[in-house]
Amino acid sequence: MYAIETSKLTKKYGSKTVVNGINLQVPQGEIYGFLGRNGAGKSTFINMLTGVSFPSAGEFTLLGQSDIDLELQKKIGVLPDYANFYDEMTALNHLRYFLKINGHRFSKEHCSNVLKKVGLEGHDHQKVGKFSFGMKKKLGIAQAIVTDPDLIFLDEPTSGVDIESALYIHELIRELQNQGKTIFMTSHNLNEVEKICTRVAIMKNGVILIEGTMEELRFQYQAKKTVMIKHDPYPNSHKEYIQQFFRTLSPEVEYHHMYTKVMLQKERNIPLIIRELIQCGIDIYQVHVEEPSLEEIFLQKNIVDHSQVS
Amino acid sequence: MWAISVKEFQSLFKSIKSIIVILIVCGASYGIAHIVSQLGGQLTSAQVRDGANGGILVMLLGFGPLFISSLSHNVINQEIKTRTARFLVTKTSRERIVLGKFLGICCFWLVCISISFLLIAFISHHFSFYIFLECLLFTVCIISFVLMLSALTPSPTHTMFLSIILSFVLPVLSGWSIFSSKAYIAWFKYVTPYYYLKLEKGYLTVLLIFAALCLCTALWSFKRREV
Repeated sequence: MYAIETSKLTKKYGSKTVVNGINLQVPQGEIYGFLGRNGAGKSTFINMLTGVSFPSAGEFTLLGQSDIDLELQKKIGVLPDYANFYDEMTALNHLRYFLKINGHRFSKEHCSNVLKKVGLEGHDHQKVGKFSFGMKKKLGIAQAIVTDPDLIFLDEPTSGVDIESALYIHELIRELQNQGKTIFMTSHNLNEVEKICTRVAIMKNGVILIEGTMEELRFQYQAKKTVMIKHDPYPNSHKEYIQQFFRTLSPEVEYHHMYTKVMLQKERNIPLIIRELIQCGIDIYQVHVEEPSLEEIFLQKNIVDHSQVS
Repeated sequence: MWAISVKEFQSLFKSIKSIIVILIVCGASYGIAHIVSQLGGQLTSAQVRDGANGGILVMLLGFGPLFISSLSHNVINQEIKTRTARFLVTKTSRERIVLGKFLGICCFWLVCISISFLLIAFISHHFSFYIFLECLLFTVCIISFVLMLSALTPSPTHTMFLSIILSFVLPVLSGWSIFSSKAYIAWFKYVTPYYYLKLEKGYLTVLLIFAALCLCTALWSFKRREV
C-alpha cells in the first residue's frame, strides 16, 4: 500500500490547467520532496490531497483510502501553505483546539512536548498574534504532528525561517521518518530537498518532469562526478603525455601545480588514472570523488534555472 | 464539532460588540417589563404578563436580524479570508465546521434570550414559554440565514453591507407584506419567518423548515468552496 497514490490528478481554474494529470506513487516511510518554482502547481497538488481544494479530474488515495473522512484525517497531519492562526489564541490553546476538532484527547504535557520539539519551548501561553513568521511556521509544524499522524504534508516548511530554525526543522523531519512516518514536503530549494529527502519529484507547469530516488536521478541523468587528485608536480618529461591521457577520458580537466580536477562520466576511469600516474612515477597523496548535487544535475540538464537554486 | 461550537460561543461572549448587544437586549427587556408593570393599574393581569414577555419578542422581530448579523455576518467567510479555515478543513469535515458554528451561535443567543426572560420573569412574576419558544425559533431562523449569507458570499465586507441592508429591509417588507392586501407585496410574507409567528402554534414548524433550508444551503456552498 502506498502512502499517496494519484491517478491523472488534474486541477483547472477556468481555462488554465494548474495541475495536469499527475500520476504519483509515494511509498510509506519516505521523505518525499516535491520541487518546483513558485506557480509550478506544488501547493495546488497538496491542497487537493488534503481537502483544501478539489480536483477537476482524476483520483487519489491516502494510506489506501479514497474518501477523506474523520478517521483518515486523524492519520494525516497538514501544514498548509499560507494558513493563518487565530491571533488572540495562545500556542497551547491552538493545539488543544486542533486536537479536539480532530477527535483526539487533549494532554497539556503532550502539547508542551510537541511545542518543545519544534523549538517553541516557553511560548506555550504566548498569544500567536505576537509570534514572528518563523514561530508561526514552527507552530504550523507542531499542529501537523501533534496528533501523531502516519502521513504528514508539509508545504514549504522552511520558507521564511532562519537557517538555524531550518536545520532544526530538517532534523525533526528526519526524526519523524525514523518513527516510520511518511513525509510529503514541497520546496523550491534544491539543496534542502537533497539533504533530507529520500525521493524527489520536480514539477513544472503542472506536470512532473522527473521523479525518483537521488541515486536513480544521478544514474538517469548520467551526472558527472568531480574527481580531485592531489599529487606531486608533473615532471616536464611526462607533462604532455599525462595531459593527452586525461583528454581521452574527459574534456573537462583543470591542471594545477599540486592537484588535477577532472569531471568523469564513468567511475571506472578513476583506477585507470591512478595506475597511469603511478606508472609515470608520480606520487598520489589523495583522491577525492565528489558526487554531483541535484542542483548541478538539473542545471546541467536545464531542468531548472539559476533562480530555483539558493 | 463541539470544540468549534465552544470556541464560537466563547468568542461571541468575548467581543465588545456582543457585550453591547447583550446589554441592549437585557436592558430593553428590563425596561419593557418595568414599564408594563408600572402600567399595571390600567392593564389586565393577562395584558401585563403578555406585554412584558411580548416586548422582547417585538424587539427581536425588529432588531434581532441586526443584532445577529452584526455579530455573525462573517462567521464562515472570515475564516476563509484569513485562511484559518485551511487548518480546520484538514482536521474535520466541512459539515462539522458549519454545524459547530451554527450551534455555538445558537447557544449564545439561547443564553441571551434566557437571561432576558429570567429578568422579565423576576419583575412580572410570569414566564411565557410559548413566547420564549417563538423568540428562540425566530432567532434560529435568522442565525441560519446569516450563516447562509456568510457561506455564499466570499467577502466579509460584502456580508456586512448586505446583512445591514437586509436587517432593516426584511422587518419592514415583512410587516408591509403581512398587513397589505396588494398582490405585488403580499406574496413576500410567505418567504419570511415573520408571518408564521402570527399564525397558529403548529406553523412554528415552518420556522424550523426555513432554518433547515438555510443551513443546508450554507453546507452545500461551503462544501464546494475552496479555502
